[in-house]
Amino acid sequence: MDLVQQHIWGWNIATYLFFGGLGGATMALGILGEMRFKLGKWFGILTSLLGLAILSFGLIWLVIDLIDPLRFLLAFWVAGIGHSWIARGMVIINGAYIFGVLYAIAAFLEKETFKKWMGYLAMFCGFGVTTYTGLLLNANVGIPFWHTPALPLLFTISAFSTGCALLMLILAAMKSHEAKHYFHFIEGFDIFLISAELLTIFAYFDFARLGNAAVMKSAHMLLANPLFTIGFVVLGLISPLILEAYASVKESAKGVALVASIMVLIGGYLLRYLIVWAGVFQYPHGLAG
Amino acid sequence: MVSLNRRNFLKLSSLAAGGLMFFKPTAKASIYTPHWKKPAGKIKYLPNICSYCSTACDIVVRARVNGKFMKPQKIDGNEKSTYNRGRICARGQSGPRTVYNPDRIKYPLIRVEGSERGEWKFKKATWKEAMDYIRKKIEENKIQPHEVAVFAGQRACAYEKLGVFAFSASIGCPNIVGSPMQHCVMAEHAGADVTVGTMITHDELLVDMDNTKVLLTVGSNAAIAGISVSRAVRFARGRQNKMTVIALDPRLSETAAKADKWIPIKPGSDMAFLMAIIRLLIKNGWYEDEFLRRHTNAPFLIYDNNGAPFAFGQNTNPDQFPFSQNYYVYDEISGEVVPVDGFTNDNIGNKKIKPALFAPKDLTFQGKPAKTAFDYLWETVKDATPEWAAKVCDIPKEDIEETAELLGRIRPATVHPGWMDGRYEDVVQSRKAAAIINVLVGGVDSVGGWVFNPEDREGMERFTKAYKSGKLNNPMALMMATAMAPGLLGVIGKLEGMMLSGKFPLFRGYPHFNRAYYDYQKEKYGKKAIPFSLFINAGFQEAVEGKLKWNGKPYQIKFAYIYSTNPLKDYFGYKTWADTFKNPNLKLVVVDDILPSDVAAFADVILPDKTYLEKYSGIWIQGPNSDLGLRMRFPSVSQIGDTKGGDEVFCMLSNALSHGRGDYGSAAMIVSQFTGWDMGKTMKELALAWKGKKPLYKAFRDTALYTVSKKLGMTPKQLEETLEKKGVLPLKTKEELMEEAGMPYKLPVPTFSGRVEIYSTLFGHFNMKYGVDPHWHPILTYIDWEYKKGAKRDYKPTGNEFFFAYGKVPEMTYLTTADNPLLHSLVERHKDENYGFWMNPKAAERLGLKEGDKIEVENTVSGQKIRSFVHITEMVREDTVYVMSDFGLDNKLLKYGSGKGVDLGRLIPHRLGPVTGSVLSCQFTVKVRKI
Amino acid sequence: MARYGMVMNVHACLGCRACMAACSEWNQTPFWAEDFKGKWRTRVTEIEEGKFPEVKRYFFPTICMHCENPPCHSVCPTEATYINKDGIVLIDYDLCLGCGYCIEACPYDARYEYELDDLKQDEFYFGEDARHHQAHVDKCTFCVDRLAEGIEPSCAATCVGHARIFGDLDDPKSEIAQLVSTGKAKPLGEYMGAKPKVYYIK
Repeated sequence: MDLVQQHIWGWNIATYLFFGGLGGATMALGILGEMRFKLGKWFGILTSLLGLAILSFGLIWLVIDLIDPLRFLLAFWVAGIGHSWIARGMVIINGAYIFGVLYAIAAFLEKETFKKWMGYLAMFCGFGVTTYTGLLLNANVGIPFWHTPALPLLFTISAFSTGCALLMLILAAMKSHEAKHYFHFIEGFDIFLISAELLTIFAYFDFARLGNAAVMKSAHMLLANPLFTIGFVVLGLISPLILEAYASVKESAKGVALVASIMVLIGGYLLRYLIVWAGVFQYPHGLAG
Repeated sequence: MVSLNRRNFLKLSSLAAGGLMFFKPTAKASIYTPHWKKPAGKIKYLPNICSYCSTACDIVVRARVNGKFMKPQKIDGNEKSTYNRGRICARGQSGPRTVYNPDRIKYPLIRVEGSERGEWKFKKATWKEAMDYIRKKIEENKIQPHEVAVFAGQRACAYEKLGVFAFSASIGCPNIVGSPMQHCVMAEHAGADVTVGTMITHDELLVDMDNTKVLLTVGSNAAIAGISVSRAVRFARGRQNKMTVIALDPRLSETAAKADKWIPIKPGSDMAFLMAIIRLLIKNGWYEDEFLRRHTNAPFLIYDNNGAPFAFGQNTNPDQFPFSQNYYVYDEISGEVVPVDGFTNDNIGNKKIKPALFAPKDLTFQGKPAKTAFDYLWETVKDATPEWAAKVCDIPKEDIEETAELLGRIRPATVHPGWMDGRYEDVVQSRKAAAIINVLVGGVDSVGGWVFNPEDREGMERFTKAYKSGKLNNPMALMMATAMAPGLLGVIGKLEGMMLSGKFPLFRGYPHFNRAYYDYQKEKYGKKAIPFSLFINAGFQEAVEGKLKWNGKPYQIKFAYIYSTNPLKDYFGYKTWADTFKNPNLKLVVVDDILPSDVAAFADVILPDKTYLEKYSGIWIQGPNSDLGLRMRFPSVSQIGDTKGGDEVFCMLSNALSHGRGDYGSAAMIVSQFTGWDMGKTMKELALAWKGKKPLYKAFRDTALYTVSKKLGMTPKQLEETLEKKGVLPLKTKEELMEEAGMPYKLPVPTFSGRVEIYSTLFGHFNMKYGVDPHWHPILTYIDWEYKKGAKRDYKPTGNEFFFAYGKVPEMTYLTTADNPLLHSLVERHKDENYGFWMNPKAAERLGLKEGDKIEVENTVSGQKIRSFVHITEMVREDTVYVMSDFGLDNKLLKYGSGKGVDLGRLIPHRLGPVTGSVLSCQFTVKVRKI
Repeated sequence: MARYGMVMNVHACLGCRACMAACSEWNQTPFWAEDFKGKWRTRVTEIEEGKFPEVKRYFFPTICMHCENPPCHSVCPTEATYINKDGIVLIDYDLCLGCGYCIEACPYDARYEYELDDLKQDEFYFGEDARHHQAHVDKCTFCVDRLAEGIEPSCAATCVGHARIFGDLDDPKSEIAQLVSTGKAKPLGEYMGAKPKVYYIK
C-alpha cells in the first residue's frame, strides 16, 4: 500500500466545514429557542439570520477553493443530487436560505402558523447542513480515515456543540428569564454533546488503532500533532467540559461558561482542519508518485 | 458539440450576476474538450525521421496545415515501419517542444566587440552581417582550408554526414571531428568491428532479439532500455518469446531490471568475465564448429612475430591496406597445410578440405612454429577459470558458470557487447571478447543473432565484385573502393587512405591534424599513435596552441566550426576545452545550433539551426534495420525566426573559405561516390545549393528522388508521393536478404580477410605499422591496467573511496534534449536518481550520509572536484558510485536544463586512451566527502 | 458500443516514460506545474524492492482506471463526470464546478486540477493549438478523440515495451479480453468496489 496525505483540501475547506456546520446549528438552535423556549420573535429572527450569515461566510471559503471561483454558479446545477453530497448539500443549503428567510419574515410579520412550518423546515435544513459536512468527507473511499460512519456523527455532534457555544455567548448577553432558562438548557445539552464527542473520538481512535495502514497513519499523524492533542482534545474538549460542568452547578459562574464556549468554538475549528489535514489516501502499491 | 445555451450560461456564471437559479444546461457534451475556437487549417500527416538519438526512428508528424503555415501537433511512430514498429520514446514524442522551445536561437548572433569568449555578450544580426563578419575574419587571418576544424556533432554525424563530406571535399579540408567520435563510436565498437567487420550497436546493426533465446548484455543499457527504440521493441518481443536475459552492469539499469539475472559486476572487470565465458565455451565444446572452420579465420595459421601473433601469408607492408593474397590453414583430411583465398567468405568452398581449429602440436610452417588462431585464443583463456574471474569481478563464480552454460547450450544465443558504458584501457579487447563469444555461439547474421543491415550487404556485393574482377589493382582505385565500402573496410579506407596519409589529392597534401599530432607525440614523448582514429579530436588543443607541424611547416587550426555538439561537456575535460576555445590563436569560432549550448558562449558567431521537423532530407535506408526500406523527411513546421539548416551553412562557409568559389564539383564527386547517386544530377543540384538558389537539403532530396526513382522504375513525383504517404517504402524483408546475401554465408563480411575474424588482420597490420601493443592485440589479451597508481585490477577501495560508473537516462540524449521542457519535467519527477550520485545504503551508512546530503566528489587521479548530492539506493554496488551523464549544462540561457545534475566533464579529465583515443572515462577512483 | 479497457503489464514496462510524454503532447497536460514535477494523466512510478544484490526494480504505469462504478462520478455534484457509451469515464469541462471533490474521491490518484495558471502556460507552450480554455478537473480520457479517428490512445500507441495493451473487453478475440478472462491480468484495489477496467499483470 502507498500512503499519501491528501493535499487538495486544506484550510479553505476546513473553514467552510466549520462555519457551515456552525451556521446550520446556530439557526436550528436559535429557532428552537424562539419556538420552544419563548425567547421572542427578535431572537428567532436574529439567530436565524445570524446562522445564515455564518453559513454565507463559510460558503465564501468554499467558492475561493474552487479551481476557478468565477464558475461558482455551476454549484447550483445539482444534477448529481442522486449520488453527490455536494449536490445534496447545495439543495439543503438553499433550503436553509429559503426557509430561514421565510421564517424570519413570518416571524417579523407574526404569521404564527406559517412561521411555525417555516421554522420546522428551517430547523430541518439547519440540521441537514450540520450533518452533511461529515457525509461529504465520508464519501471518499480512497481515504479510509474519512470513510467511516463515525465521521458524520462526529461532525454533527461537534457542529451542534459549537452552535451551542455560540448561542451561549448570545444568551449570556440577554437578561430575560427565558434566556437564562434556555442558557441552562443549552449548557446541559452542550455538556452532553461534548461528552458524546469525547466518546466518539475515543471510539474513532480505538477503531483506528486496529484499522488498516492508512487509518493508522492518520491516527498517528493526529496523535503526534500538538494542535490535536493539546489544542483540540485538552483545550477544545476536556477543559470546556470541566468548565461547563463546573459552571452548571455554580450559579454565578457565567463567565466560566463563556470562556468554555470560546474554547469549544476554537476546538471545533481545529477539529475540522485536523480531520481534513489527516486524510491519507490508501493507494494500491505502485500508484503513488 | 457544445451548445450555445451552456456557453452563454457560463458567461453568465462568470459575470456572477443575480437571478441565478433560472438556467438550463443542455444534455451532455459529446466531445470532451470543447475548443472554443478551433485553430484554422487542416490536419495532415507528414513522415519524418526522428533526430533525438542515433537510432533515427521512423515517425509521422500530425501537423496543422493552413496554406503555407504548418505546425506539428503530435508525433507518433510510423506504424508501417518494421524498424521501430510504430513506437517512439519520450524524446521522440517531445519533438515539438524543442521546435518551439522558448530558449531557441532564432537569429544569427555576433559577439560584441571587446567582450571575451565565454561571457555571452552577443548582438542580434542578419545572416548577411554574420557571413560578412566570418568572411572578414577569414580574410584578415588568411585562414586556409586545412586550418579549419569542423566539429560535426550528433545531428551532423547521424543525419548530415553528406553535408559534412561535401563541405570537406569542396574546400579540401581534412579536419572533420565527428561527434566525439572516438568516444561515441570508435571505442564502443572497434573490438566488435574488427571481429565481424561492422559496427555492432551504434547505427549499423540490429540484434535479432525477437528470436534470441539467450541474451547476454554487457552493460548496453543505452542500446536497449536506456533507450534505443528499434532495439527496445525487439528486446521486449524477445522477452515475450521467453528470451533469457543476463545483464552485466554495476548498477541495476533499466535493462538489468528487465533481465532474468542481474550480475552486478565490478566496474572495469568485464574482460575477466568474458574470458572465463570463452574458456568454458571452448572447454565444453559449446561452439559452432562448422561455422568456425568455414566462415571465420579461427583456423588460420599464425606465427609469433616479435611477440605478437601474425598470420602466415598476411601482407606485411605497413603502408598498404592489409589485404593479402593467401592465408594458410591446416587440413585435417590431408594432414597438410593448404592455402586459402586472401579475401573470401568461405575457407572451404568446393575444396575437399577440413580446416583444423586446433593445429597438431609442434606444427611448423615456413620454418616457423605454427598454431591456429583458435589455439592462440584457447591459450589466452585457458587459465581464466570461473574462480579467477569471480575474484576479479567480485561476483559468485556460479553466475559465470550458469551464464556460460546458457550461452553454450541454448540456441540462438547472442551478446550485446556494450554501449555508452565506462571506458577503460582494455575496452577494445573486452568488446572483442564479447564479439568472439557471439561468433563462437554462431550469432552472426543468423536468426536470433547480429543481423547485418541491407546497406552493408549491398556495399559488400559491390566491393567483392570489384575486388574479384581485378579492377582494384591500382592503389588509388583500391583506396577509393575501400573508403566507400561499408563497415570496417570503409572506416580504414577513409582513415588510412584519406585522413592520415597526407597523400589524398583532394586535401592538397594535408592530413587530418591527428596525424601531425601523432608525429608530435612520437617525437616528443615516444608515444604510439592512435591507430583507429577516424574523425577524432586528438590533437585539437595542440593544433590550436601551434605545437604541430606538417612537412616542416606549422600546422595550426585557426577556425573552429562547431555544429550541433557541445565539446565542453560531451568530450570530457571541461577546462581543457574551455581554455582551448578561449585561445586567441583560434581566430574564429562559429557555433551552429538550435539551443544556446555551453560552447555557444565561446563563439564569435552563433548561427541558428533548423530542427529536423523543418527540413527535407535525401532518401535514406532505415538505418540499421534488418529489412530494406527507403525513407525521407518531409517538413512539418513553417519557417521559425531567421533560421537556416546547418547544411545550408556548409555551402556558405565553403564559399567564404574559398573566396566565393567553393568547389562543388569535388563535393558532388564525393557525394555521388558515397550514395551511388547520378553524378551529373548531383553536380547540377549542388551547383544550385552552392550558389544559394536552393537549400542543400532540398538539393539532396531532388538528387535522391531523381536517382532512386529511376532505379525503382518510377517517376520522381510518384516516388515522392509514395514516400510522403507512407513514410517508409519497404523493399525487402530480413529473411529475403539473409537468404540472398547472408554474410558470411554468401558474401564476405567487411573485414580485410572477408571472414569473421577471431584473429584481426587489421590489428596485425597495426602491429606492423605502429609497433606491437597489447591494446590492439590481434586475438585477445588480458591487460592488467590500473585504476590509479598502484591500484591493480584486484583493487578494493575502502573508506570514502569508490569506483566510478555512469550511464544514461532513457528520457535524455545530451544537449539535444536537456533543455526540452517536457523531458525536463519527466526527469524532474525522479530527480534524485537523475541528478545525484547513487550510493549503496551500506556505504552511505559508513560515511554517515543520508538521502540528499550534499557531497564533494574528487577524482583521485586528476584531482578534479565536483559538488553534488547523494541518492541512496540498493541498486548499485557497495564499492561503486554511479551518476547519470545526461545533465550538467552550464549556459544560464537554457532555462530548463541549466545547472541541473552533474557535468561529467568536470570530473573526468580529457585523457585519451589507446587504440581509439577514447577518454578513459571510468579508469580512476573517486573520494566522496560530506559537505 | 464497446467496453474499452487497458492491461498494464508491469513486467514489460521498460521505464522509458514515452507514454507520459505522448499523453502530455496530445492532451497538453501541465508538465510545467509544481516547478516541473508536472501533473499527469498517466504516470510511471519506479519501485525498488529488496536488498542488494537481490534488489528488484519495477516500473509501474498508472492511469485512470475507468471504473464501472467510479467513486469520482458518485461524488460529482454537477454530473460533469460521466460515463460514455464505450464505458470511458469522462469530464464535461463545461459542467465542471472545480470543487476537487472527485480528486479526493478517486482511490487511484487519477485526477488533478487544471488551474488558471495552467491555462496560461498551456497557451504559452501550445499557442493557438492550446486545448484547455477553462479551469477544470482533468483526467485520462483514453484519448476519446483519437479513438474517434480510429487510432489507439496516445500512450498505448507508443508503448515501447508493449506494456500497455488497449482494447475492447467485450471483444473476446482481443488481446486484452484474453488476458483478463484467463485471469492473468487483475485490477488493482478490488476491495474498494470501484470495478476498474484497467488490469495489471504483476
